[in-house]
Amino acid sequence: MYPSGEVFTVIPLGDIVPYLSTVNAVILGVLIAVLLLPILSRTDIYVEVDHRRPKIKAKIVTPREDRIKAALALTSTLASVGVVTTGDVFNFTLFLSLLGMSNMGLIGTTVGDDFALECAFHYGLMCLIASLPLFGGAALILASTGTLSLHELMKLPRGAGGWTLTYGKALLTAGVLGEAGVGPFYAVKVDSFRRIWGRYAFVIHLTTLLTFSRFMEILSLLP
Amino acid sequence: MSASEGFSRLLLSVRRPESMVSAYCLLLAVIAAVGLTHGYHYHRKQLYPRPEPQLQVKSGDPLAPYDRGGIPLRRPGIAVSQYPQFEPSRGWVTSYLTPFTRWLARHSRHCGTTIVSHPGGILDEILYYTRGLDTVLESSIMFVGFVIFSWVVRMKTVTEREMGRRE
Repeated sequence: MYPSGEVFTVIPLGDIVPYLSTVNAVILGVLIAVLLLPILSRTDIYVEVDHRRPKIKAKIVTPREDRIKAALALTSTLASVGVVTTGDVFNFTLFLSLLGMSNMGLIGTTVGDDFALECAFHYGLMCLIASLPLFGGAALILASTGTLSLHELMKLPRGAGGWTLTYGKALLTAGVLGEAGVGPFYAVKVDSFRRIWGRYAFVIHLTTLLTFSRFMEILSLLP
Repeated sequence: MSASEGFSRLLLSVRRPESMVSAYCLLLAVIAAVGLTHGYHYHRKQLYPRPEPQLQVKSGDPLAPYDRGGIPLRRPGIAVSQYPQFEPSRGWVTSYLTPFTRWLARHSRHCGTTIVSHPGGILDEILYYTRGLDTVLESSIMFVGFVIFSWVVRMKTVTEREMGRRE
């Protein structure tokens, strides 16, 4: 029995062996709905109203900015789909670093805002540092149990792996924190919801949140 | 300084975007300090054998190098594959070479084995034995990084008016 409910289907796709269970299917549905959101919606118009002086200023996202943000939101969502469905710890970490990278790009590619660029720089620094504990954790899980497949790890008895596996779990948690956990912090820093690219900021928050629910499942799967 | 003033000063210090990086590095340092004091036991199946000189000279030394065996592009080395059921079809490192790399490997002495064909080099060859998607994913991470970097640099260096003239 998997922690995320009954498994509907296991796709024997080479080395990632994705599987879809009850909770993951719901998450996947939400993700695909989010993916459709930037595709179907039109370019936003952002209106600034100054009350002291009667002044109304309208801003439109330039097509150039809109295009790169749509592409990065697509990459982020696809990486998140990979995170949710994959059945392999190492692929989980790889998808997660792709997710962190594209979320960093979503913040960084804001036109005419130096502070957003600075935030993206620090988020990128964070992703860079976090990749060490992330991949180190996956490597320690492999070294202590001899496999990376979640389907195999589930069958191992409790306490297999010992301290090496426990330390690997701690490293993996630190890596997930740095890679995805700080995404909303920087997105809020640049006040992203009230920006003209607010619909893409929604992608950052949702993908990182769903990543955490998936990470909880992996933690409970490990012996 | 009152308590509320100290609290607001603490919040102000966390407010800056670079403070989170420092806090995270502190967390990593604590985790590393905890990890240094413990011993580690590895799964015996995942260890490669050590050849003669290391066995004689430095027996018991954990830093003595391993020997993976095998000849590049001829015979696979000793590696415990993660998914043995896929080994017959994709067990060879050479199965992911592009036509150009295949040509390079055939016509040169030292190129085209692992460094040229894989983005990550030797380490990838060890870990990605029978793991094909990881290589694709890793290069896509690099690709996204380059896309973002080139876009930001282009927006910063080329002015909006010049870009409009070009399009």
